[in-house]
Amino acid sequence: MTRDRLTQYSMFDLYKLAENVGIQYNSTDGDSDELIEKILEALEEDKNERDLTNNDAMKLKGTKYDNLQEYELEAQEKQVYLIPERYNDTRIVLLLRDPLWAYTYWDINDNELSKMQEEIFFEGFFLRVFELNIKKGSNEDSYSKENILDYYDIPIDEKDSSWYINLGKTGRYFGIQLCSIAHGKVSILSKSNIIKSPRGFVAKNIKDLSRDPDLMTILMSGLWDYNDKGENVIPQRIISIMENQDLTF
Amino acid sequence: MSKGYLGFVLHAHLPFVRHPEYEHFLEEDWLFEAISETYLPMLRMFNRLLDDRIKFKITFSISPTLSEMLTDELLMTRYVRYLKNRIELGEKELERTKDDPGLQKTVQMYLSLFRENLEDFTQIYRSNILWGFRNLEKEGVFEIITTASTHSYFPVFEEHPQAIEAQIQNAVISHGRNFGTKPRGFWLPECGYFPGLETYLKANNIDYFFVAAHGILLSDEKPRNGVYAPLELPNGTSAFGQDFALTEAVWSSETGYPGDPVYREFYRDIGYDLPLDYIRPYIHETDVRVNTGFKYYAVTGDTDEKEFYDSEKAKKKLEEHAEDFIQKHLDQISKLEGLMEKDPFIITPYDAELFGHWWFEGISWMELVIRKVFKRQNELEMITAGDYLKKHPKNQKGMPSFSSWGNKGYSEVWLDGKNDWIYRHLHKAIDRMTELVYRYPDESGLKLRVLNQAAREVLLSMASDWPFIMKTGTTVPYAVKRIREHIHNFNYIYDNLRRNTVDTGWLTRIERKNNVFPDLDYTIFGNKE
Repeated sequence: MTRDRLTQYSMFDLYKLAENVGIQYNSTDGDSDELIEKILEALEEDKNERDLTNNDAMKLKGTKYDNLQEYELEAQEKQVYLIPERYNDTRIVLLLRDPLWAYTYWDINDNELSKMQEEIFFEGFFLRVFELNIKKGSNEDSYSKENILDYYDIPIDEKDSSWYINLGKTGRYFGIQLCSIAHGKVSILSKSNIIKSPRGFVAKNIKDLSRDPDLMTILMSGLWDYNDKGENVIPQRIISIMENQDLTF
Repeated sequence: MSKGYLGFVLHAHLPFVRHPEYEHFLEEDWLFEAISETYLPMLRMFNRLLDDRIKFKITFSISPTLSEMLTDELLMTRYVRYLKNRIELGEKELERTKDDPGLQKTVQMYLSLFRENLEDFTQIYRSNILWGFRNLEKEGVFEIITTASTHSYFPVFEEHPQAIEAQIQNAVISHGRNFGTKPRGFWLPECGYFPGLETYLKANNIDYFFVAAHGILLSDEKPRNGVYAPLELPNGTSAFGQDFALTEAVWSSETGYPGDPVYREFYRDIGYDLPLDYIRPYIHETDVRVNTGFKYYAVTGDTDEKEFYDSEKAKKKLEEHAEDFIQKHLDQISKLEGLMEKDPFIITPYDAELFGHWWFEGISWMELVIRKVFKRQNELEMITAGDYLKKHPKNQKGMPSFSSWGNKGYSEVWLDGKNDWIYRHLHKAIDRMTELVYRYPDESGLKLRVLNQAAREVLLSMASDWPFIMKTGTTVPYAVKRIREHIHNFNYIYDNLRRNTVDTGWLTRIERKNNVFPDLDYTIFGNKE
């Protein structure tokens, strides 16, 4: 998106674009030049962030969809497609994102929610994240006492509906429960599926090879770009969420 | 002297984009650009090699959505219109640049490209270029494999086996219809693998697939041959790993070949550079500037002051880069000598559209590599993954690790703050689709049409392209709209079925618009648990 191109936009389109790129701006705040400046800054920032969070393969892949080099203000298709924000069922789902992070989303049925909130001693909701010891082929409840190695709680607000979870350990099984608490008593509203985080590092018997430079050639495949660098594994976006919300893990 | 194998794996894919409700649609150009700059020039190149009796082998993946679009009458008619429009622009450009002989050469190059494309497309392929790929397979130089029906990124659907099964089973059916064969291999979209995925592949008679390098290296067993031989999974399927260093030689924007100053610059296009009054008939309506394919500048360097493109200079550089690529293979083979139980198989997978479209000279580079390898067959031989398994049916047992070729190697491209909202809807739609199969196990007539369209909408909503675009920020409003469209359509059908009503007019309209996979059977979404 160039300055020249932006100068061809109507003020209406500039406001729309400003809104799309997250700029708070009042029509009384100033002239179009000032707004264009802010939009260009925001777009540059956005581009830099995307560059940092995409590897070469992904950047190249993006060019397949890049016949429009400029920021698409709105889709050409004008049809509006309404979809529900949620489905009004009590449910929690856990998705593995990388060896150290998972994403969870949940929903609480409106009736159940009202009933809970009507309780005088209703205190709120939280997520309970479990580290589990699952035996292969076992049919027992994954969350049975014998299987629970550890757990921790994350308080959530009624308005929350998703969260990124720092798993803390690799190569383990995890599950999550959506819970409410009233009068000090915990009720489980929904249990998630179980995920297993990958080891995220080289199996011990392979690591021994690193002493032998010749054998290391076998492993020359960019492995080190992906793993064993803790700071790279943690996405910056999540760090910023942690900082802004003052969460402690 | 040690010997090794070179394995080019090309993956051709575009999402299903088809808008009959518009006379011209911006995102349909993705397909037209790919046919013009990649698929047709690639077919010409491979056929030149055949004519010259050069022996080569390529593992080629074509996504079912791409195959469907390449055989869609409306889109292919529009492609011819696109080509004629570009030829007209080229002729105008010849006139405009007549006093600039240097530039004229570049204009002529593009004009020839579009003219050749029109001739090949209409005369040789009769509007169906799949025939060209199929023919290369018949000639024994291609092994065509398939991928997920709508290119869904599997790890985010691990808890939805019915959806994974539907994606794979329908892909195999679509492949049979388009190529007349059963695919032996499978390209996992974005190399997205999770342990257990092989079960669905095996159930559909798939013998092998590809994973990112760390998928092999982090496997549960010590991979004695690193990524240079496949792992055989407990269920008998084989996983091949990508060679990161050699793939990076083409990918890297800083150190890769395509970033060389003499090569053509992708982002300088006359669609943006020339006055609006002149370029208006060749861009999109309401004066939306787009790429036209006419790009006159070279990469030059990290500067806005670009130099004009000189194809002769680029040609010289290609020699150097083709030689370098081969030398890198030979160096690697030499390093591995004595360390492996068998000859190393170096696999370099690429998105096909990278060649020609992004890296304009990429197809010529590949041709040079193939010609040079042919002369050095005693050191380096091209084979497909299927060929390798025929030569080496027994491989080390092991289980790859969860992995992808996306940023940082896992799911963060497709599961991120910019796109994570979609999964609540996609998972729900899959669950509901399974419920519909349970409720209506054997339907016919109008209800069958409704259910098949519901299945179509679910498959379309699962495309990895939409979350990818949301994350990488190209045409985000369109990607968001596509997810919303398919979820909306599915929900509308689901709600109507619950009310036991059918909106026939609406259904017919949607069937005509989202007409992918005409033989789709909704019961493939039956619960597989």
